[in-house]
Amino acid sequence: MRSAVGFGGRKWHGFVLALALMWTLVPIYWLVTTALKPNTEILSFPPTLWPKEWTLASFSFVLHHYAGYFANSVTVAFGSTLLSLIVGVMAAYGLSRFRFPRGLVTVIWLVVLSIRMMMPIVFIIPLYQIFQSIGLYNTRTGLILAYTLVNLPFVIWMMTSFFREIPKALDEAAMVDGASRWRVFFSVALPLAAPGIASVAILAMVMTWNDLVFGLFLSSDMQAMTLPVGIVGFITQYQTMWSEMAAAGSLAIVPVLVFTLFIQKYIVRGMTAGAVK
Amino acid sequence: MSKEDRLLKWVFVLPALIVIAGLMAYPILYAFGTSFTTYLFGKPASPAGLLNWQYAMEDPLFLHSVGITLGYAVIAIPIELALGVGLALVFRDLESYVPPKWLGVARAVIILPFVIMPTVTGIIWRLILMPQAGLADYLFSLVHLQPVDWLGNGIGAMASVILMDIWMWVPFVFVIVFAGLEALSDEPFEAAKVDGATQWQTFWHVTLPLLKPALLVAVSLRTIDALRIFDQVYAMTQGGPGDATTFVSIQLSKTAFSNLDFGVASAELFLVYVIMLLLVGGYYFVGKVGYRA
Repeated sequence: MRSAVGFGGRKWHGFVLALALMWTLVPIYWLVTTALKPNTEILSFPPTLWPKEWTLASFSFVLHHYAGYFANSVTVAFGSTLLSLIVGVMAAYGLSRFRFPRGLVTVIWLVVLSIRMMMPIVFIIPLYQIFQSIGLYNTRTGLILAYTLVNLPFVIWMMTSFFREIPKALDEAAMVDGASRWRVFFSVALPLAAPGIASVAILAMVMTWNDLVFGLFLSSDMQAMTLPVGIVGFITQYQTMWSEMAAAGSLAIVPVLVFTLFIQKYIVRGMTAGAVK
Repeated sequence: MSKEDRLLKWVFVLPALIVIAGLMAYPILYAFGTSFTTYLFGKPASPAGLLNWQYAMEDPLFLHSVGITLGYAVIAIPIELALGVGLALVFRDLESYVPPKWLGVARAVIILPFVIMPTVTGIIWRLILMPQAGLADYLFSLVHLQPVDWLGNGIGAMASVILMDIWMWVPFVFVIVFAGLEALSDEPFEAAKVDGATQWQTFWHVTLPLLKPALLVAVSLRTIDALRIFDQVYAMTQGGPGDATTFVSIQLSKTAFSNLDFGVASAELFLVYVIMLLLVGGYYFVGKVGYRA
C-alpha cells in the first residue's frame, strides 16, 4: 500500500473514477448498441438507450461485404510487422552491441525520430507518385512497404532498449566458448529478447491495423483497400446505413481490444517510444 | 571487438539503412524535385523554379489549415493536460486504499480511447452528434435545450473535434503522468504532511515540480500528434463543413489528390517538414526528451 499524495477526499475520488469510466464507456456502448438496432430505430427521436428491436443483420452484412477488407488489413498488418521485425531487430542488436562512428549514430537516431514524428501524408505524396510509376500503387506489397517505413523506426527504438537490458557478458561468454556472432545472435540474444519482440510485434500490428491514411491514398479498390478505408467508404457510399457502419466499427476494434489486454505493460512504453528512453 | 565483428556490425545495420534510404530518403528527394516542377492534372508539365514555393507561402487554404491546426492544439492540449493530471492524482490516491487488482481493471478500461482505431472513434462521435437522434441532442433535450446540428456549422464542428480529441487523449496523458507518479517515492509527500502543508500547497510545491519530466513528455507527444491529426477527423467531418476542420494533413491530401497539384503539395510538405523538424529538434535539445546514446 502506498501513502496518498493528498488530492481530495474519498467521495471526490469515487466521483472522479465513476465519471472517468462512464465518459470512456458510454461512447463505446453507443457504438455497439447502434450496430444492434435496425436503421429505422436509430433515426427515431428520442433515441433508445437500450435497443427495442435486436438484430444481427448489420453484422452479417458486414461479414459478407467486408471480408475482403479484413483480409487485406490482416495481410498488410502481418506482412509489414514481419518485415520491420526482421530488419529492425537486426539493426537494434547491431546498435546495442557494436560501436559505430558517433556522427552515424546521431544521424540514424534523428532519422528514426523524424519518421516517427512526421505526419504520414508527407511521405505519402511522393510515395504515391513513385508507386504509380513502378507499379506498386494499389497493391498490398506497396502498403506493406509503406507501413514498414513507419514501423521500422518504432521497432529499432524499442528493441534497442530491450537488447541493452541483456548484459553483453552473456554474448561474450558464448563467444569465448567458440560460438560465432550469428550463433550468439540467434541462440542467446533472440531467446532472451523474445518477450520484448512479442510485445513490439503486437504493438506494430495494432498500429498498422488501426491506420487509415496510407491505405486511403495508396490503394484504390478491393485489391488492396484496408478495413478503415472501407469504413470511411461507408460514409460516402451508403449515406444512411448507420447500423452497418457501427457494426463494421465494432468488429474493427475487437482484435485490438483482445491484443491490448496482453500487452498492458508495454503500451505506455510503446506509445511514448521516441520521447523517453 | 574482434576483426570479424568489425565487418559484421555493418551487416547488422545494412538492411535497415537500405530500407530507410529507399523508403524515406528517396521519396523526400523525389518530393524536393517535384516542388520545382509545374504539375497539370497530375502530370509534370515544365520546370517551375520557385513558383510552387512562392505559391505555398501565400496559399490561403494552406495558411488557414496551419492556423486552425495550431488553434485546435492550443485549446485542446491544456485541457487534456489538466484533466489527465487530475485523473492520475486521483488514481495515485486510490492506490492507498483500493486493491490493485480493481485499479488495474479500471486502468485497462480508461486507456481504451487511444488504442481503438481512430477511424472508428470518428464514427462513434458522428453517431453521438447526429442531429436529433444522436445521444448529444438527447441529453440536451433532457435539460430543455434546443437540438444542435453539431457537424453542420463550422464552430460546432471544431468544438466536436476538440471534444472527441479530449475523449481520445486525456487517457493518454493520464497514463504517462500516472507512470511518472508511480516512479516517485512516498517520502516527499509524507514530509509535506508532517510539515502541515495543505493539499493545495502540496500539489503546487511538491507534486507538480516532481512531475515536470513526465509533463514534458506528455506535452511534446501531444503537440506532435496534434499537428498530425487526420484519421478521426476525416471519418467524422471529412474536413468540413466547408474547410472548418481541414487540418494541415487533410489540406495537403486535398492539394495532392483532389487538385492533383503535386508541385505545390510537395513545396507545402517541406514547409510542414521543416516546422516539425524544428519542433522535434527543439524537444531533442531541451534534453530529457529524446535519445542520448
